[in-house]
Amino acid sequence: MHFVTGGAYNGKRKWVTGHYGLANRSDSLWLSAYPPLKADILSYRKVATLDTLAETEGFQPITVIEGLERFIQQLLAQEKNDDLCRERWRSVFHMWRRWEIENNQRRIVIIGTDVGKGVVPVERSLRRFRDYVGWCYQDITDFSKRVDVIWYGVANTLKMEGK
Amino acid sequence: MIIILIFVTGGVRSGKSSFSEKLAVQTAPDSDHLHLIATSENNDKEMADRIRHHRELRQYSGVEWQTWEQPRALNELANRFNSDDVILLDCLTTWLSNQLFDPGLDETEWKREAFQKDVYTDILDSIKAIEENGSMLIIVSNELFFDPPANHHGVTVYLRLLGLLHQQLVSICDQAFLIENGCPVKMKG
Repeated sequence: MHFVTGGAYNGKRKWVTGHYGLANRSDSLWLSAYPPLKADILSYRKVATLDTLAETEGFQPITVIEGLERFIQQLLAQEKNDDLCRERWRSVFHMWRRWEIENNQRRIVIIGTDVGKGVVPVERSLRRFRDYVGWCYQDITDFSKRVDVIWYGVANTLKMEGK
Repeated sequence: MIIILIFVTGGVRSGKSSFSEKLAVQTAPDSDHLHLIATSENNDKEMADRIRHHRELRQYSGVEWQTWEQPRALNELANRFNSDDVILLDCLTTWLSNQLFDPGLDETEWKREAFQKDVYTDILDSIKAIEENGSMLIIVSNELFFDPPANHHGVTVYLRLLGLLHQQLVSICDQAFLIENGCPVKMKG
């Protein structure tokens, strides 16, 4: 698993597309929490729901999951029990990793926007959202072999196993 | 290697301006060739105080700056500079908001995608024009991309354009710095 993070509008999507050469390969799947932009060149991006994230049988050798923060927010809206939320994400991460290790050609790339460095939000639900995003990002960093922070298109590698 | 374009960003009060000013003073052959383009519009007391604060800081440095107060249409300044000039542009965030939410235009103009594109192109073209005439251009901007997604359409449009400008500037600049608590972290160059 490869976790790609950084602030909003920093070019994370563009970086992933370039790094994995996605424009020229047909064995990829891109699941996004966000509807595509008008100017989007990536016609293969699909808007996904929380449930589809668990359906690994439909995954392609390179599967990109974009908008982890949004998926986390969706689960928080459904699940009021705080402890269960984090546990449920951990089990999803486990499942992704299991799918990945079955075949060493497989790679799951997760894109998540860093939302934890701004002003403390006035709204309680947004504070809860920020907290969970922070915890889940720590967990997914644990699970991932590689982690990059993208800063206006420049990647800073925080973690790279085996190097 | 000749360094022409430098991009500097950081959080609020991170020391971006001081770092950039020092860099400009060190580079310019003398104060006649030291220019500041200030993009803030002086239209309320808080902004007046902030502008005064920056002016005083510059006075303490003991250097006389050629100051251009220009909130928008920076391309108009380009032919004022020559090849020995070091130019500090402070900052991109207010410049973009002055152009995007220009009180002289229809108040829904910022919603038009073609207008947004024009603002983006206009800013990049102005930067290129200034950069071509001077010897060094330092652009200061701000880190604004770490909040939960904004609910306000205007904020989203603004952040998206600012992010695209930052990406483009980092890709074309010779050096990029992120300032953390007064300490510059070199991100490129």
